[in-house]
Amino acid sequence: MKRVYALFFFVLIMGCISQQQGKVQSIEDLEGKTIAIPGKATVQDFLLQRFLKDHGLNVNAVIVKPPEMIAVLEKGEIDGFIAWEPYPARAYVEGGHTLLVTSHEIWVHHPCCVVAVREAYLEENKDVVLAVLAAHMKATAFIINNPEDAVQIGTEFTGMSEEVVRKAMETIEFVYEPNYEGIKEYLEALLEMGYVSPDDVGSTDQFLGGFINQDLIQEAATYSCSGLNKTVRIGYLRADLHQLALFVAINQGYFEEFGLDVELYVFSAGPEEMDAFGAQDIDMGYLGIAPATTKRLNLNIPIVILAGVNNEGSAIVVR
Amino acid sequence: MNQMRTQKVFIILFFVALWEIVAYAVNSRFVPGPFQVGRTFVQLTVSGDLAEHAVVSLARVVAGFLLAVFIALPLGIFMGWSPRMENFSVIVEMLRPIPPLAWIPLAMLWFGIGFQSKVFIIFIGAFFPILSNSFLGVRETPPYLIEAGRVLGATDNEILRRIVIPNSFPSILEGLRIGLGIAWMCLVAAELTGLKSPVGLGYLIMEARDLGKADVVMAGMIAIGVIGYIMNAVLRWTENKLVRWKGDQT
Amino acid sequence: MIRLENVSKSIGDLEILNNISFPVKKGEFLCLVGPSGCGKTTLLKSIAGLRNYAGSIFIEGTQSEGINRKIGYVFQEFSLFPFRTVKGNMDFGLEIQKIPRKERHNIVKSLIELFRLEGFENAYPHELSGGMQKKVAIARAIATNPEILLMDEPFVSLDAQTRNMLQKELLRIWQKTQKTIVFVTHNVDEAVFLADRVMVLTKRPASVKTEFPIKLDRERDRTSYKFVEVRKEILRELEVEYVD
Repeated sequence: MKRVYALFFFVLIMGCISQQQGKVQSIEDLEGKTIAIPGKATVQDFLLQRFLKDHGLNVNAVIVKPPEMIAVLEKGEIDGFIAWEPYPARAYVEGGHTLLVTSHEIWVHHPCCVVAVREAYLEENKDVVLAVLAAHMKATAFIINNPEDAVQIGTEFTGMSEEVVRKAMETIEFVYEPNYEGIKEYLEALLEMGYVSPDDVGSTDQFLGGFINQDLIQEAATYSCSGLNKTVRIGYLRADLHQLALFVAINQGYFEEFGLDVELYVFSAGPEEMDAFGAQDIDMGYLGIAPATTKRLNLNIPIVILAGVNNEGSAIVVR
Repeated sequence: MNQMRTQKVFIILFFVALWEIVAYAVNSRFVPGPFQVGRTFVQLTVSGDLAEHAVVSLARVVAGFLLAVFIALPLGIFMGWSPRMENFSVIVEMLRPIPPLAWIPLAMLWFGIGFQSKVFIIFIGAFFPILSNSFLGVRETPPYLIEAGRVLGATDNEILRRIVIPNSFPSILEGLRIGLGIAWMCLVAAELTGLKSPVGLGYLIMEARDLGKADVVMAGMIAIGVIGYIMNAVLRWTENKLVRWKGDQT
Repeated sequence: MIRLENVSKSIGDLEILNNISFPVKKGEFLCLVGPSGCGKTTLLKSIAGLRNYAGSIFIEGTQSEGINRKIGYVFQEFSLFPFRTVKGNMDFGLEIQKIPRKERHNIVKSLIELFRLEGFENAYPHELSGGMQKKVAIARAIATNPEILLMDEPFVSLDAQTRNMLQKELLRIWQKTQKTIVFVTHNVDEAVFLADRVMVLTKRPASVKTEFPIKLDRERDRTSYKFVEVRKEILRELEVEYVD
C-alpha cells in the first residue's frame, strides 16, 4: 500500500513540473503556442485574430487578466500575451521580454479606446456629458503638449516606473475625435468573426449612425459653464495607459472647473465595464471599442460612443 | 410513486412557465427566456461543444476528487482511530472555514493557470468533508462494538479493519457525496479565473460573459446543474446499495 | 473454574470494586445481583479482561490477564455488528481464530439450529426483533466454544414476555452446552429463576454481601410458594443497599 502512495506522489510531482515549450523567436514560431488575451471581444482579442488571419497562423488563445500576464508568462504557462500599454512596456523594461509585434504593425492607426455614455444619462444630463468631453479634449491636448508631465501623471496612475511609462507612451496615439471608419471596420470584423449577429445589426450605417455621435465632441469644443454641481460616475480600465486623459483631467482639475464631481470605477477589462453599463452602475466610461460594440449588440446595452481616446498602443509580448 | 414523479414534472413545468413569463415581461437581453436558452442548449449539445466542455470539467473534478479521497480518507480514519491525533485536528479546524475559492490566488501563484491549479482548488473543496466524515465515522463507533470485537479475540488492527471501518461506511460515503458536490461547485468558480486551455463549463460561461451572450451563460449553468444533480443521484444510489444494513437506525 | 481473589478497582479517588473474592464452580449458573451503579458491569468486564484491576483472577487454575479465549461475553447493549448478517456475526470470532471456511460453516449451521433461527441466516440485525438480536448475540459469544459465558444484564431492554422467553431459551442452551455462566442483573426475579447461586453485592464500592444458594428444582415455577419466599429474602437484602 505504501508503494502505491509513493508512486502516486511521484507521478503527481512530475506532473507539476511545468513544461517549457520552445522559445518564440519569430512570427512563424507563434504557430500552436499559447497566447493570453485580456478577454473575449476585447480590442486585443480582435487584434490578435486579425494578425493571425493575416499570417495564416493558429494559436491557443487563453484569457488572463493583464496584471497577471507577466507572471504567468514567466512561469511558462503561456508563451506570449497581448495587452494594452503599459504591460508590454513593463514586460520589456523589467523582464527583458520581447515585443514581438506592436498593434501599429497589425493595423495602422487603429482606434482602440473610446468614451461612451449611457443613452438615458445623455438625455437627462447633456450638460455634464459636454463638460466631461471638454475636459477630455483639454486633457488630450495637455498630454500631447506636455509629454514629461504626462509621464509623471502616468506613473501615478499605473503605479509603474517612469522608464516603463515613457517606453509605453511611445506607441500610444492620444486622440479625441471618434473614428467612424475605424469603428465601422471593427463592426464588420466582429460580424465576420461571429461575435455579433447580422440580425442585431441590421443596416451597418444605420446602426453606426445611432451608435456613434460625432456632433457632441464638436459642441464640447466651445462648451463653457461652471457651477454644474453634479456628480458623474466614470468607469475606466485598471492601469490602462491609453486612458491617461481621464487622470490628467482629474490631476489638472479640469472637471472641477465645470463644478463636476467625478466618481471613479475601475474594471479589469472592457467586458466587465460593459456589464456595469448594463446594470446602470456607471454613467460614462473609457473602454475598448471592441467590447463596447460586442456587448452593445449582444446584450442591447444602450450606450453611445462620443469620442476617441487613443489609437494603437498594444503589443504581442513573448518571453 | 408515480404520483410523486408526476408532481415533480409539474413543478418543473410550472417553474419553466414562470421563467418564460418573467422573461417576456422584462423583455431584456439580460434575461433570456427558457425557449431561447433551450434552443441554445440544444445547439451547443448537437455541435458537440457542450459535451467537450463538460467532459473536460468532469475530468478536472474527478482528478481533484480522487486526490482528495486518496489523502483525506485514510487520514480521517487514522485521525479518528489514534487518540494522539486530537491535537492535529486543531489545524484542520482552522483550515476548514477557509472557503476553497479563497485559495484561488495562492493556487494560481503556486500552480499557475493550468490543470494543476484547478485540481488543487477541487482538492481543497472535497478534502474537508471527506476528512471530517471519515474522522467522525470512526470516532463515533460505539465502544461496545469495539469491546465486542475485543472479547472475540480481535487485535487492534483487526478491530479497525473488520469493525470500525465497515461500521463507518455510511458516514464515509456521505462524506464522499458531499465532497464531490462541493468539488463540482468549486470547479466552475475555479475555471472562471483564468485557464490554460479554452475548454470547460466555467470557461464557457466566462467567454459567454465577455461576449454578452446571456443565453449561453444560462445554458452553461443548466448543464452544470444537471451534471451535478446526476452525480449526486448516482452517489446516493450507490450509498443505498452499499449500506443496506443501515436500515432505519438513527 | 473461576476464582477471584481480592479484586479491587479505583478510578482516581473513586472506588468501584472493593476487595472482592469468590469462586465459581464449573458448570455453575451464578447470578450477581446489586443496586444500579454498584459496579457489577465493571466487575464482569474485569473478569473478561476488558478492564484493569488490582488483585488476581484465576481461570481453571491459571491467572488470567487480558482477553481470554475461554471467556465469551454478552453485552447489555444491542451489540451485534450492524453491517454483518446473522451468519456473519456468528462467524466473526471463528474468522478471528482463523478457522477454515468449511468448519465455520458447520459451526454456524449448528448454532442456527440450536437457537432456532432458521430462515434468518442472511438477515441484518436491523431487521430482527430485540429478542432475536439477543439470541444472536449469545450465539456469537459461544460460537468459539468458550467454557465460560459472562452476561451483563442482557435482557434488561426487552419487554417482559420476550425476557421470559429468552430466559427459558438460555436455560435450555445452558443445559445442553454445560457452560459456566456468570449472569449480572438487578432483577431479582430473573436471578432466582435462572441461578444455582445468587450473590448480592453492596452498593458502590461493590463488595460481596450475601450468598444465596437456590435449591429449587429446575423448570422453576415463578408462582410457587418457595420461589416467592426466596425472592422475598433476596429482595430484602438488596433493598437495604438502595436505602441511604
